[in-house]
Amino acid sequence: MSESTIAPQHGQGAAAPAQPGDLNDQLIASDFWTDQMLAEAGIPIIDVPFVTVGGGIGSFVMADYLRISGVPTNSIRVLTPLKTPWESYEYLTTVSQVPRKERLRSDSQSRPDNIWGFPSYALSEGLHGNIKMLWNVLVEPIFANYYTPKAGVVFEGIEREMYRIRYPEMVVHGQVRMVRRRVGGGYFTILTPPEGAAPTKRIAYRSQWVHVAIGYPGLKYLDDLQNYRSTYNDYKVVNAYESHEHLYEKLALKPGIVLIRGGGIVASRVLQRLIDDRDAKGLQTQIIHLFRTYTDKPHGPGIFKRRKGADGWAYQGFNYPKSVWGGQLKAQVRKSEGAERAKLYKEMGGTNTPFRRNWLEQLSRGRREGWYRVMIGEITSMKPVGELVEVGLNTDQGPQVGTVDFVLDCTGLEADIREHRVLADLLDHSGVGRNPVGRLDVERSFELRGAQNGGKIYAVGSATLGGYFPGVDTFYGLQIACVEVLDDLVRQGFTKKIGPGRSTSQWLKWMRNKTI
Amino acid sequence: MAADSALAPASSTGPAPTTVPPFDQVSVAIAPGDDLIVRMPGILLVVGVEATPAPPAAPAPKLGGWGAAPVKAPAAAPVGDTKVGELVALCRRVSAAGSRAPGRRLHDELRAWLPTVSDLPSFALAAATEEGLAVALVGEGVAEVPDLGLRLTPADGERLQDGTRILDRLVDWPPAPLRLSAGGPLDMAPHPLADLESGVVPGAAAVLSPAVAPAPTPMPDAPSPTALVRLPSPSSLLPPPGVPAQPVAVAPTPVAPPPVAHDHDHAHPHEHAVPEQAAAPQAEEAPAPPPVELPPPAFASSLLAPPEEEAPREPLPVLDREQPPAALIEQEPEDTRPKVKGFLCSRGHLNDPRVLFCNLCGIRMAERTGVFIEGVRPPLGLLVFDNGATVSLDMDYLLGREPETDDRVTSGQLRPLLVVDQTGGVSRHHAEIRLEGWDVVLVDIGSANGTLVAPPGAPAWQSLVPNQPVRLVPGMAVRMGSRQFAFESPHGAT
Repeated sequence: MSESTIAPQHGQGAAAPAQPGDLNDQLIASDFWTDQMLAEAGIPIIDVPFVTVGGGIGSFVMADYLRISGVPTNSIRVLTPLKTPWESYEYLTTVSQVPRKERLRSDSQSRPDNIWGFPSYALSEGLHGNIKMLWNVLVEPIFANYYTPKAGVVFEGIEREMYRIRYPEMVVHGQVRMVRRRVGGGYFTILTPPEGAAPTKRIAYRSQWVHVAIGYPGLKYLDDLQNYRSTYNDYKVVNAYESHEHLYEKLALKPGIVLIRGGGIVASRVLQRLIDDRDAKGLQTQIIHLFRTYTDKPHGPGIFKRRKGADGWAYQGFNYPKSVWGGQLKAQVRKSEGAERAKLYKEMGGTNTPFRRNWLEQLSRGRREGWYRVMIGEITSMKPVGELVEVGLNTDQGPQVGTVDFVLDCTGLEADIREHRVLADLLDHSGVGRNPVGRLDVERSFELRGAQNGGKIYAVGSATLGGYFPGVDTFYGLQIACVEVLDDLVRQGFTKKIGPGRSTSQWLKWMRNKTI
Repeated sequence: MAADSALAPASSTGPAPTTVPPFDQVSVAIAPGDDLIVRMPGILLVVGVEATPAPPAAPAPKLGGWGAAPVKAPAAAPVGDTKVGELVALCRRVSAAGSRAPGRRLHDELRAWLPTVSDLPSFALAAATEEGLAVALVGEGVAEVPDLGLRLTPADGERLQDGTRILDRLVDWPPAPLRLSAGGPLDMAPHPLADLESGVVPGAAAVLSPAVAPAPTPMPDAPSPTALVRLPSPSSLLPPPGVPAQPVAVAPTPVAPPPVAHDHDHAHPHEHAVPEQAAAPQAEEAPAPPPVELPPPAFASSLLAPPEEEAPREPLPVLDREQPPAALIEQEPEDTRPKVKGFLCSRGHLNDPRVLFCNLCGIRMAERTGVFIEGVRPPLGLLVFDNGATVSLDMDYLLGREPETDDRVTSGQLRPLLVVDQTGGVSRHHAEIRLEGWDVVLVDIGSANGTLVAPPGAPAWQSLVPNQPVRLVPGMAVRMGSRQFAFESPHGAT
């Protein structure tokens, strides 16, 4: 885990003279590059058969599979700005109130640090003394809530596996600028190392396969939050996906009112934190919960596709109905194309949150005692008034104005894939298209359709949502995607298939934590 | 009275359509009948005439008021019309007062006037407000939207002293025709082309239809005949010289047929009284001032008017992705706010190079290759004090018991932050908080009792070495004397 390369020093000359080895106009404009063009621009070329871009959990899982199948570390490069594979994930879970000690709220029926999925998180936890969890997975979801592991356990597992497969040897820090096709086959991936880390401004990785695991293009705070922030430079209006610890601290010192917006999984977690604090410290926090869509009863397009709902929330165990993993929905989506697939995604989509008894009890207590109130509508205006925020609401009971201590926005949207520079470049210059849902169009093997060039570009993760397999942005989804990629690579002769013998021997190594 | 002369122009040759409130653009069709319908800018009034007690002296012609001798009518002007006259004068006064949405004011004036009169005539009144309509119904007055089955009557309103029922309400513009009537018999639907732009006509009901009246052709000479129509003023009964004696029939557009078709036996004072006393004195004593353009309404929502056409605008300049941030940074060259070098997110917001997501918009920062750009530094975080006060860190602070006595505070270099401590553990100048690059740094400047810090999760306090800066990380607690505060940063850099 290096931390020196990522954080650039302050006070360095920003207007440094043009460094050698930068992109030139001809390169930027060309869809296909020759080795000669890069040589003329002074960009050094490094050869490696397989490059994965992103460096998050998607890249990690791919590298894990390849290493276990026998690919040596010098055949793989992970190009990433992240210090660790879980850095980005941990940041988001921590700020959204799932620190290492808390249980994750999303699906984790597989584990990214163990391609076999055995022993599972629940079994591990049970073997380590928490027998209750074994009982839990046996009777869920009828008699118990779905089991999910603690965030810290996931990160520690990844860390252990990271050293076992010698992942740090494969990592190159920097920002990936673009991936372009090479004349004569293969691809160039342009990396910008941190300032001062390399003699040239850019480095080109020449590879036959590129694996794009960039993940979420980003969050997108709502425009009114952005406007408020830029107009007033004030942090009384915060998004749940940014650090907002000051909110809890202030509420612990002074009674206050919080307006929560959004009805998703993050809202449920933030509410739990607020009410936990309230209970533990005897606070007088008042909560107003603003729903835009209020779900008061089970809903869905058909009797077999219904989703529970009550009190404004739409309940679902995980992001996706269970049948996307192996049930009829998986088969249905795999066969669908175009508008039909978009429709299927729309049906299973929508904001939802897992049904968890503890916070539902908290909310009903809040409703009963009057400190948790629900409104339906939208915010029309926000402005700071002294220590408070004046919020204008357009509710189903007409326009209203009130003052609150904090507005906590749990409605982060995902940005368009075009907002990511690498993905936009793929769309513009590599013949990649969009799928019916608007993300990257991938084949069933997760190969980017239209980008074949004597090699393949693969993409996994949420940038490919809307493909033949739903649920791509979960741990299990990433593993399924990486298995498909691995199978495709085996067909092309890059690596050997993980047969029963190799699988068993590798699993034994995993169990003994033996470095490979 | 501006409206005396500007009455007709206000609706017929008014200013550009953008400033004409929707109420005056709505077409008003008249259903034939015996009551009186008055329209003026912003106000539509249907007042029942037969409900007023006609004096028994008035010779009631057996059939069709036209047959009666015209000279008799003025003499027979019923007493009850005094109130109608007062009502109309009141409306006219409010309408002329200049507001395009006189509804609320009319409502107030009406409220003041009603207790002063007894034995009110039935009437239904609609006036424009800024959001919708003010409707007042008295006696038999009815407002209804037949297409939607909506109906307002005074029955569910309040009762005045003399027992008359009154209802006044603020309502939304209905999306279908609104019919006002004063309880008179409604024998015939209004002619589809009938449209009263302004003036006074007889009729049983007025229908405000959501269809906007076609733009009237401006009349080059003089106001339209209806402009000169004056309602009977109680004081003047003289016919105006030079005013045509049949203004009622001379509606600008096809209006309800004259009420001859009715077989009714009551007096028709309005038919005669109206023209003959019409506004003689006023018209003479007020030599038409130039039409006063009324101020545009504060807000005019028009469900009924067609969408206004905007003037064509120049297309926005086409910029490539690199330009907007540069423009943001360079817009204020003489800006003296502290600058800092950071990365721009793909939407052009300046950020700490270490953060993963943009502090302002949430986009992932890994999208632009790291090029340092100098820009105005955003606040780097907050101090949350133990009494709940928060301080946004947008510049350097001096903390202490009397921070304002420091030279650097008086010179404006530092901002004072008073830390009140009853135990006396806080020095006059205790510590400084400096913003260095993207870091927030705490320095104990030789305080008597020292400063303690505790990083998040730390088991114990650590004492600061005087004059040795310590970088604050989010969640860090700081203690001076008996006071304590925490540093929090939404930037999330640790």
